[in-house]
Amino acid sequence: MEIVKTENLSKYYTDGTIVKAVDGVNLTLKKGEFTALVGPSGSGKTTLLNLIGGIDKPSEGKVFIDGQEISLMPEKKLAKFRLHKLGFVFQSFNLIPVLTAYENVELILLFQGVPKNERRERVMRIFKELGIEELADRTPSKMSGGQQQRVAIARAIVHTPSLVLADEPTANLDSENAIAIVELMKKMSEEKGITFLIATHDSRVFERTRRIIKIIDGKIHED
Amino acid sequence: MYKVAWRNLWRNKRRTILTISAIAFSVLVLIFMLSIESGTYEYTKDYATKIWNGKARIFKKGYFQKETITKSFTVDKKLKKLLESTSFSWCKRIDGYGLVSFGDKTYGASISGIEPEREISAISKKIREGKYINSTGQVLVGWRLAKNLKVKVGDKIAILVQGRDGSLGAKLLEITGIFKTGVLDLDRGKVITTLEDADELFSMGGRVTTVVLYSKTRDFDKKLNSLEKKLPPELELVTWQKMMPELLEMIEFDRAGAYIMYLILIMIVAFGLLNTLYMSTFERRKELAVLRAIGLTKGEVRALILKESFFLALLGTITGILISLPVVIYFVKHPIKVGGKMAEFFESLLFAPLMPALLSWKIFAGVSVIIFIFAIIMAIFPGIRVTREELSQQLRFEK
Repeated sequence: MEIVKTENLSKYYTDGTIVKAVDGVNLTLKKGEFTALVGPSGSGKTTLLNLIGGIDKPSEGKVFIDGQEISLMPEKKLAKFRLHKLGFVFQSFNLIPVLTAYENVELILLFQGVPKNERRERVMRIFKELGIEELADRTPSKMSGGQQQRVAIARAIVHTPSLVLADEPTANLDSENAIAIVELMKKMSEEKGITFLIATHDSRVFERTRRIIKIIDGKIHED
Repeated sequence: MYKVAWRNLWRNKRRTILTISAIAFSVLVLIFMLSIESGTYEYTKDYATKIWNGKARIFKKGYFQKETITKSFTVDKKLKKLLESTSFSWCKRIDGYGLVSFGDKTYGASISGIEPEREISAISKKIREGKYINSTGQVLVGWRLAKNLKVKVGDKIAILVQGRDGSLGAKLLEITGIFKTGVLDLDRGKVITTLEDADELFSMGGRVTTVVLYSKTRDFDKKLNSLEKKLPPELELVTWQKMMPELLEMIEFDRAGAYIMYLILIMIVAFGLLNTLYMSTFERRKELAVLRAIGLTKGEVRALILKESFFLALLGTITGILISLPVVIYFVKHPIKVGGKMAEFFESLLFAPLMPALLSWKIFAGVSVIIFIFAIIMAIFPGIRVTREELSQQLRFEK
């Protein structure tokens, strides 16, 4: 079952000359695939993630997530689509600093309108699965980078999305934590059947993925 | 989202407390000034109407448009009963014009006949020399007129008038008192005698030109309407607003000036709030972008900023009200007194030389609503600005 499908996906920027950040990408990701998107800095990894995540609009081409074309969706509908179908893991974790780990993860379910008791049950379950129960009452400032990224993963998967997009999730972590984080994402992908697309140039990450897509100058070079 | 908004406020405690203090101070200033202003206006209305004109008067129809002694009426039993059925204080008067002479000096003056014991104006309290009248043959004179005529208490002045029937009326009356009201027209041109003497002078035959009404009740206008409906058709009611349009205009003018100042004050607070919201919003651009990325719409992000502004306004307003309450109560009990030349200036404008505060929930509620409206308006701008940017630019995914 195809979770992600792009057709001739392109993103151009005009800065005097036309810069092709993503250039005619045709890509398919199946349910539960654990894929690394690799390439040097400026190769277009982040732009491609943004296009697939509906954060950026393509200049040309189409993006289908779970069979739905998102490239032409209006902003409001797209926001709700992301809320239900996508999860994000960022390089700098990006947890809400004023909320505890529990509240950060709960926020997604709160936005989805999940009742309080169910929210509590689902958040605690994911905390247990990720082994971070003891972090529940801590705010981000009282957590290490590795702990914050675990909470960020919990936030990305608590609502069991179709696709998780992770952008350099290990860039700010030491080796031990980086490996642990990749293993954690892999485990979640296998156990929950969630598709992961991880933009990275960290070998500790792509060595552990089943599929590696190499992108250079906005084009898929190897798959 | 209320939880997020509330906690966001306390990220920068000093900034939040300063903003709340600025709002609270503005609420205090606005409530205090509006309370003093409203209290002074209310007091001035009472003060000015109490000097001579009363809150309302009954005239024969047409008299108010053209004051003539021929347009007079009798306070018969029926009218008296009607007046006594109201809660108003009332008294009869005869008002006419004539000449006042002493020695070789003659001046035109407004001559009024009053019932000294029933008179409801404050004229008895405005006697600067001598005493109030209590029987026929006596007269009160405004201090400027007395100065012009070069008369003093005890002197006898001659009054010459044309009566209701066209005949000439003349009397020699003894000055028992000289009054000073601060109102130029009264001080320069008013002579007050008893109703009996005025009746003889103007050949009124028991008729009067006006009945003066006064009351301090708040529902005066409502009661007045009810009285107006019951009046005989040949009579009409004229309120102080029609009799003293200059006072009403003065209040409106004064109020307009004050409103400009209030608006400036509100704008200062509003821009302070805008500054706080802009700063707190822009230092969290990425965080707000993350909220959008994970599923909040632009509108929901704007609503979050709106909630923060709501909390700031709420805390500022509540603090402001709590500080204002004892201040206003103090000035209700201890009005500001205006003295010396300033008091004379105030009196000449019919303004009371006393500025009490008015404790009114309407002022507290009005100020709170205005501050809230401005807080919400100010929250719109950073909300729009921060959500207008491209989400991908805000997120800066790679760094």
